[in-house]
Amino acid sequence: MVQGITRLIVSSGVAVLLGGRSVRVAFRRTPGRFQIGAWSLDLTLSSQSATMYQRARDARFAPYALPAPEAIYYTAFTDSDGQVLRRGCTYRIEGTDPDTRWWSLSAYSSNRLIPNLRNRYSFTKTMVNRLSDGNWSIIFSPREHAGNWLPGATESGPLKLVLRCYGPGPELLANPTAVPLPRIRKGAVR
Amino acid sequence: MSAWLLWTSSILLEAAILHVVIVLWTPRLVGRFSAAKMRAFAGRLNAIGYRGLPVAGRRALTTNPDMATAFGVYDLSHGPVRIACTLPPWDSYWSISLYAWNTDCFFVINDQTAIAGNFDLIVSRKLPAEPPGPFEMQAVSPSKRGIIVVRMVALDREDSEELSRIEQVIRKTSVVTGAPAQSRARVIHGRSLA
Repeated sequence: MVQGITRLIVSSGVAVLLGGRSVRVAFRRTPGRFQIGAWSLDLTLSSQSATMYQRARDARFAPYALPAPEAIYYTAFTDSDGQVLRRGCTYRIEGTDPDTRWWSLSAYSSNRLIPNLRNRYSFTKTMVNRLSDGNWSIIFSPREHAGNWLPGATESGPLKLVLRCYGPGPELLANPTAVPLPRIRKGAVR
Repeated sequence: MSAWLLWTSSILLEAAILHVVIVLWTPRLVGRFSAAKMRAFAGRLNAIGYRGLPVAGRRALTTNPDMATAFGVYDLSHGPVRIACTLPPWDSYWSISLYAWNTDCFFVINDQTAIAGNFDLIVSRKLPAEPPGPFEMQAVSPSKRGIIVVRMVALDREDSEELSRIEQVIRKTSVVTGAPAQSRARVIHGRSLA
C-alpha cells in the first residue's frame, strides 16, 4: 500500500517535471521568432494566426501586446557581441531612427522597469538627443552620464532592452528583419 | 521488466497530457487572471479604468513607460457593447485594441486609421444586420468577454500638463451596454481625419 502511494507520488512528480520542462523547451524552439544580431523579433504577438505554442508563449511573456503591423517590437537579451546583458553594467546603444511614426527604447530587469531617482526608464523618438549626423547614442549605466543617460542599477541582475516601433513605415513593414537596428556595446563609454 | 516499462510509459503519458494542458490553457488562464485584475481596477465589467503611465515597482510586465493606458473588460452577455472613443486633438499616437479571452488581438485602430475624432465602436458576437452609422465602427468578438486597452503616447513623461491632457482624452472613453444602434451617431460632431 505504502509502496504503491510512494510510487504514485514519485511518478506524478517526475511527470510534472517532464511536462513543465518540455513546455519550456517547446517555447524556446517554437518558430516565429527572428534573430537579427542582438535583437529578436516576434511577429506573432497577439496574432489570431499564431499557433498554439506561439499563443501560449506570447500570453506567458508578452500578453496584450499590439500585433503587427500596428506595432513591431524588438527585444535584446545580449549585446552585439553575444554577451548576456546585465543591469549593473554599462552599455552604449547606438542607432538611427527606425522607419516608424514613433519609437521608444526601454530597459527592464526581470520584465520590470528599473527603479531610479530620475524616474527615467526609456528614450523615445521625441526625447532622444541626436548627434549632428542625425544618429543617436544612449548610455545605459548605473553611473550618471551626460547626454542620453538611461539609469541602470548598482546591483547585478538580468537586463532586457525593448525597442518598440509604433506605426511602422513601409520600409520597416516590408522587411522588419533587414532594417538597421541599434548596436549594443558593453562598456563603450568615453 | 514489464512493470518498469508500464511505469515509464505512464509517466511519459502523464507528462504529455500535462504538456498539452499547459500549452492550451496558458492563454486562457492569463486571460482570466488579467481580466480579474482589470475588472477590479475598473470597478466593474463594461467599464474602463485609467492607469496612466507605468512606474517602477508595479507588477505589470514589460509595460511601455511612455504609454498612458486605460483598460477594462467587456461583457457581451446582455448584447452588444458600445465604446465611445475620443481621439486627441493633437498629433500623438492613440489606439484602442480589443483582445479575446485567449489574449488574441482581434481589433485595433489608431488615431490615423480611425474614421473620425469621435466615434463609437460597437462590439458584438456577430456582425449586425444594419450597416454602421457614419460615426460607428463594428468589431466582432470571438469570445463573450474580452479586454479593452486604450493607449496613448506621452511625448514627455515629465510634462505634467501633457499628462493631464492625455488623461482628459482617455477618460472620455466610455462603455455602454445594449445601446441601440445609431443612438449616438446623431449627437456626435467628430473631426474627420480623412
